[in-house]
Amino acid sequence: MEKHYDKYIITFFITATIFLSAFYISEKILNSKIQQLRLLHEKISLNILSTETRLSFLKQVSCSAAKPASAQELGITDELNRMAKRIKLLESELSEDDENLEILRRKYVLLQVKDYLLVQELAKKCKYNIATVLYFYTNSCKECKEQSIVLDEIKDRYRYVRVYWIDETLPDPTVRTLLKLFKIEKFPTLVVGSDVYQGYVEYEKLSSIIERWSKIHNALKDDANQEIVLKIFEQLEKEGVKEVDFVKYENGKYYFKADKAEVVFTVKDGQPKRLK
Amino acid sequence: MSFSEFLTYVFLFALLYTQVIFLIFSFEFDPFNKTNKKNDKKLSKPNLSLSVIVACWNEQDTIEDTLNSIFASDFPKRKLKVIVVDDGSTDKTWLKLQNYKKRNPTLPLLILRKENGGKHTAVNLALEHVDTDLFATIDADTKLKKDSLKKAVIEFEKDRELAALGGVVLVKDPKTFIQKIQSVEYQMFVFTKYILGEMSGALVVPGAFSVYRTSTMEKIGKFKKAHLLEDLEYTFRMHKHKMKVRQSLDAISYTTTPATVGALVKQRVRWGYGLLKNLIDYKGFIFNRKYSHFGVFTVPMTLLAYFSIPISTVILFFSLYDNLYRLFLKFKVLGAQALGGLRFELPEINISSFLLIMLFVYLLVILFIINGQRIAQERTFPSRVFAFFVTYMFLAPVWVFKVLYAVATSRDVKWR
Repeated sequence: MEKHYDKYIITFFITATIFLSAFYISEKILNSKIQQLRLLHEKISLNILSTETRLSFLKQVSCSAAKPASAQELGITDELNRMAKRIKLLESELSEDDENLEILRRKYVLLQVKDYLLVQELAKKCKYNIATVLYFYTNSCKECKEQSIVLDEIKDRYRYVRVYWIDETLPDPTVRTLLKLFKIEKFPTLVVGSDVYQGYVEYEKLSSIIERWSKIHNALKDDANQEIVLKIFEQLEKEGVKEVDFVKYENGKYYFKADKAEVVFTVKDGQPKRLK
Repeated sequence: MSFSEFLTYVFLFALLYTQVIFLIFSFEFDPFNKTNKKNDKKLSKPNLSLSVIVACWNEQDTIEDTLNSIFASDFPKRKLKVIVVDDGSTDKTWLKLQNYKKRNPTLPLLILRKENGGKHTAVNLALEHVDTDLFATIDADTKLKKDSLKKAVIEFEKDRELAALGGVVLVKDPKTFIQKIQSVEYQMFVFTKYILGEMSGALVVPGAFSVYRTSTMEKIGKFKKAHLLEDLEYTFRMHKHKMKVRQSLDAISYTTTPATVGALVKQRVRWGYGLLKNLIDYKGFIFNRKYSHFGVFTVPMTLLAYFSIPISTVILFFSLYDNLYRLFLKFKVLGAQALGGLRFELPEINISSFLLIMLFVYLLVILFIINGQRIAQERTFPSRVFAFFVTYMFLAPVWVFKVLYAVATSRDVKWR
């Protein structure tokens, strides 16, 4: 049966064609993904620009007007998250040295930092506090992967917290500045609000840190004194109270709940004093 | 591109290549043209005589049904002889055979009993009593269609040189999940085996239902133990003698298949062990142009196909490695909490060229399954096909690994 050997050659060419088409299609899809990512970045930049513009109104307009109507408006976080996910995907498809990847990574970090600065300004000017976590990591650090998972869970649990992922290895002057500013030496490092935590922080501990931070800063809405509130928190915690909750600040008195029992403080000589 | 990536692509190319070969040759040997041929008119009265050999061991439940289906066929009884060999059963098989003979004294039935020695010894004993032009082997749990014997014998009359013909083997009454997905596999084989048969000669005419010319046996001898795969070894031997071995499209039979995962794995280990061992015995075949397409394509392709499922499973897992590693870390870091928040996140899959090629391979396989179903005239169940793919993806690595271990340690595998 010497015939049919030509079919082997035909098959080879057909298979090669299918193979090459597969390569071509996947290449096209990859390019379109990069395009989409660029578009997303443009959108985020625009949103930030809009928020910045609104903020400059603050100099003339009252804070209540400038306050975002919903969490969504201030929530470019969702788009940032999407961007992060897309970048992670592309990381596995493109080689590590791909320029596209580096550009996207840098854009992502810078957008985050801008968002962070905006949040700080809002807090200062309008006492509108948002919990922020700056997460400094590097690709080679062992515990960073686990810290990432912890942070993802935190984000899902506390939807109002904003987590910023700063990759230490990026060749960007802004990143250098941040590292110097917070005196970062170890990785992973977390900055919650303005408190620096070097090294791996586990889930339970981070949860309690964030909850505490939120309680303290919610207090400040009532024009309470931040230092006093902090001191009261610390005092109650030292006494062994498990659950400290701020209720209100009225007529110079600080109302708290210590393990569901009501406690009242006033201020004397700049120090909190307990009333019975 | 790393070396492992290169290897992956070579493997994928070979896999795709073999599937496309089937496709190309199916245009040459179009199975749908043949089944509609009007050959019944010409040869409605077969001239050749046939002995049907049934070797059995502890088949008290199925032997009567099998005999009934054989005698219910439209093959003329005066040209038929049925030889049943009880290979030392320890149940009521022999009793049932004797009763059957008593109840049907006019049927051309010869029952023999011997000490247990293995299937091939039973068949060989029957062969000593064969004086017909052709002989067929049937498993004791296999049922025939009415025209199966006639359709098979006709091929021998049409082709003087045909040495052996493999019957179409389908799954009988699939009840359990495992049996249902096997039915898909057997349907696919109907098509692929036929194409292989036309191309180069069949890889194996199945012991479950095959017909041989008695002169073949006279030329090459009787069955051997052959690592418990006597039908495969016999086919190899026929190829060694450059005989013509083909696969039927319309001589249909239904056999019982393993009902549980454990039984299936055991069966596939036996098959795989037999295949590899016999291939080692007949290593002269591989890529040998002397045996034309059989050596050049069929044998290497079978090896590739056998290992392809586990290899592709491994590759799939490696490409999903990151996702899996992340899941593992999640459990480590969050502990039991991770279970609570285990939302089923559909991971965005990278549309890599690898996935596209695998997709094409799967599409071709599905095409072959559909073709097989059309030939066998059985219904299509898309959900079964899907279940077949997914289940075998996880099971095949298990039995392939066991086979490799068994071959490496050269331990003999049990039949039951």
